Amino acid sequence: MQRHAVLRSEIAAAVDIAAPPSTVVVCGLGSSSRAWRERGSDRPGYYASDPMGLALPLAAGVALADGSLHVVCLVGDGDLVMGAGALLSVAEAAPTNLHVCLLDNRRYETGGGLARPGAQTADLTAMAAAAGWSALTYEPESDLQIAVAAWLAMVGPALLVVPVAVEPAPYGGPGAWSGVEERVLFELALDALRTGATEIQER
Amino acid sequence: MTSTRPTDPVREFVDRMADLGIDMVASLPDSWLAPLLIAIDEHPGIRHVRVTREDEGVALVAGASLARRRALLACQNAGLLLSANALAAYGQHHQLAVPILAVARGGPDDGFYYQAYKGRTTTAVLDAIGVPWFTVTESSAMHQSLDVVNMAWIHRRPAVALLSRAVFLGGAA
Repeated sequence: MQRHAVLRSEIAAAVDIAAPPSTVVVCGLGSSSRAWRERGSDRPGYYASDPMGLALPLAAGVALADGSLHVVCLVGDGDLVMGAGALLSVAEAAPTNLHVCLLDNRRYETGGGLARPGAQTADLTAMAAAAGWSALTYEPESDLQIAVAAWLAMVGPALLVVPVAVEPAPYGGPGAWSGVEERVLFELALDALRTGATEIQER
Repeated sequence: MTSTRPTDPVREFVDRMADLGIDMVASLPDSWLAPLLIAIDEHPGIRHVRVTREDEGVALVAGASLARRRALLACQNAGLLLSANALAAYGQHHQLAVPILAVARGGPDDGFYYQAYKGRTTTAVLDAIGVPWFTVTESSAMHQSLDVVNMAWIHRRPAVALLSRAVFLGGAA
């Protein structure tokens, strides 16, 4: 079964192209953050790592706090399943403006590539749907951009599970900004988005 | 048996919470919190989000804080122990405000063996991970616990009000 065909960069690009202007992106740890960072999008983006396992409720908190925003959460499967109980509470809270894209390589990529529990047995799309989410799985032979558009058109909370290729996941050094500096940059970008200003987004 | 129905002071407390701009509360229940959580459920201006783990609630409130909106978490102190990684990360790495009302099980007002370890360990863990905290022990001082909201925002990190049994239930253990 060859399902892992999509590159993380292709997902980041498809989301960036299709998401509405009011979108902010919250990334989980590891590969999902790297994919969005490497995209170089002007959209406000927040990198939730660390802690692991809490990108989903953090993104839900943003979405529930400000209904004028469209919140996209890019998250890996290891990160999501660590906090899988949040599928229930987020479904009940029902942030209609939250869309979660799950980059599913069925292993802990940054942690050495070892398999995650349930890699061969659990259907994460079905789990989310059973919890009350709108949920769909991207079929690798279909058009990714169309699938992303269909997912973004769903009423949130909505999950798109994308089987992704196994790719190298180098740590890549600490980066230019610390966590708290990233937080301030995000808040400034969010202010600019809310007021329609552009200076911060060009940073 | 102690009633879990909220008293007028508890309802006034929740009104005050809303006056402070809190429009979302994440919670995981404890019997000592029941009157508060029922009053929150009944308040039209506050969204009550039930979570499956306390660290999930910490993250949810941190997300609201990231969007510059005020929320808080209500839970038992076992949830603080469970959430040590999240509290340390949001306090030290992200510096996000997360106000928390936590009933402090395992103190002198608690009569259960299985709660005692929480009373012996909670404040030491909070100190170790750099989370500021204070205690409220009387029902008449209930409103002081909301100082945790400004404390969290000024410190830009999780802050905890540890609440005795009497705060929302009154009476002796």
